[in-house]
Amino acid sequence: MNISDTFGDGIRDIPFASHADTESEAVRRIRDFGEDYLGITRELWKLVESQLSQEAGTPSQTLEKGLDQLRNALKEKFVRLYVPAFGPLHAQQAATERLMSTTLRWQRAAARVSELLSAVAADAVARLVAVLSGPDASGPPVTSLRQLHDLWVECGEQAYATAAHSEDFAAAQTELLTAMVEMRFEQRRQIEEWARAFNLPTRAEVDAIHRRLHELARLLREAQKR
Amino acid sequence: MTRLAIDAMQAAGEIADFSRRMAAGALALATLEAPAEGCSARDIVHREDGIVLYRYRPQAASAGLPPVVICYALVNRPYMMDLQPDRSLIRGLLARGLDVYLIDWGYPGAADRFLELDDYVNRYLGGCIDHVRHTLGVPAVNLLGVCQGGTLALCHAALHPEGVRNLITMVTPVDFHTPENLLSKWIRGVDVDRMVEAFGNIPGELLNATFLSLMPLRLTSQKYAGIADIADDPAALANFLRMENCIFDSPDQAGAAFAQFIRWFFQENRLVLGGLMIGGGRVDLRQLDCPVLNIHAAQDHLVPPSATLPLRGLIGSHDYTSFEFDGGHIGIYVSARAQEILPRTIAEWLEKR
Repeated sequence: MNISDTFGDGIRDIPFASHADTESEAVRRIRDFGEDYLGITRELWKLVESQLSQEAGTPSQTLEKGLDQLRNALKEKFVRLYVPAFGPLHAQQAATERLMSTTLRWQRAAARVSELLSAVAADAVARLVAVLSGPDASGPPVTSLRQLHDLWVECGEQAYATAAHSEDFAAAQTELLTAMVEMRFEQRRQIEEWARAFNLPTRAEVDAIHRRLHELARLLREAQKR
Repeated sequence: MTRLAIDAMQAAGEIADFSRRMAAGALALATLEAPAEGCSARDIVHREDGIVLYRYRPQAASAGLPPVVICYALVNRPYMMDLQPDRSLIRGLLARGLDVYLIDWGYPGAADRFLELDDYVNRYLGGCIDHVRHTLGVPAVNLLGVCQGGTLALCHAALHPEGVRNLITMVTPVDFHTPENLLSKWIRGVDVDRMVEAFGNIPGELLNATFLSLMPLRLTSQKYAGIADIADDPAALANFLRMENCIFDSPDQAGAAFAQFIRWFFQENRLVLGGLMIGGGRVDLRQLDCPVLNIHAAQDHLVPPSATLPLRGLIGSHDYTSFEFDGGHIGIYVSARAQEILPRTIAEWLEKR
């Protein structure tokens, strides 16, 4: 056995190296993900086809459920590609990951609130239709667009008030605010890192000075009172 | 059977007319000058940090009553109380011979981030009241707290009852956990310390967005569509602009004080449930034994009557008067009826005490 064969045998088992008749762990992972991704795409197309073959107005719960399953499957496959941060720049990589993760969380929270607001809009229209032509519709005829607009506002506020007082809505609002806070926190942390790199003062440093000043002023006032 | 009876041709004409009037309104608004902050003559009589105490110049013979110190909310600007000559609670009080002081909390800057409720309730509000007591040589003042300023005034009066002769609270939240309180429902699960850590001072724009989202269609779409109705009325447009300026003139909130206010009042409802400590002193409303006039607005969407009426059962005072104004949270400051009713109600109530 020569040196070349010895080296070749040696690197064959290293996960991230490639070889003609075998494959590295990394390549296998990427290939598996590709196959899974294609599988998910095929399932998505089947789902779309099945929906297209249904009559218009058919409830979309099946579509929503199917999409949810595919979304979760895709997320699960992506997670398998994840490698934790390491090495000299691991802190920066981890910070970037946190920023992306908080941004995604905020997007999901915003989407949830939009979803609830869409339901409010639909409810407002349903209420407007009922007020205009439902079995209990009463009152003078609506003869102008402005009257119609005002009526829509009234129905919209009623629909909104009903939704806004629900626990679902409060939870969605809380999550939106919390997600925004976390995203902003990470954004600020990144900006502070950059400022520090250029030896510029940061918000955290100025806050520390303000906190000390505030405390000193309080102590001075107490001393003056004595 | 439908109530909808809109003729297509008539609708087309209405759209054209609405567009024309909105454009005319926008042009007319562009010719108006930026609204002034308040309209009555006043002097600065005391300052501490960014806080200013104004004393209004008399407009009638003195009624001989102790001075009235107005403590407004932190979340908006106090010139809402003196918006324009025909919409000014302060003018109404001056016209009845009252000696009126107003605390202006200013615009907290980054250096104010660590101001606490202790600073607002004890140091600033206490400093203003002490200034008035010492310069006029009166033992106590009549304290008028408005909205959140009423909550601060309640805390101050409970902690320092000796300096408050009579207490008037206007649209003041007391019980923060009533079913109608949407703000409380939304904020209850928020980690407010983390929020302050991320934002520092809390931006006024964030508060405005929150207030608008309480009635989003009425406070945006419908309100601005109303410009078409007043497009050819310069006085009404000027009123509109003045109100807009005032409503959205929302100072940032000092971070530490904001966090304490949200946690202790909105989340833990300590004014009702107990356990409220400010600056080392226990705020116990049973210590509040001066006469109290509690004014609320029947259609208030921000501070519903249910949030303010429990005050009666919480205070130690046996001299409690409740007054209901038929209007909303903004109307109680600026509507024509409010100008007629509220100064008279307050002045007559004070005269009897």
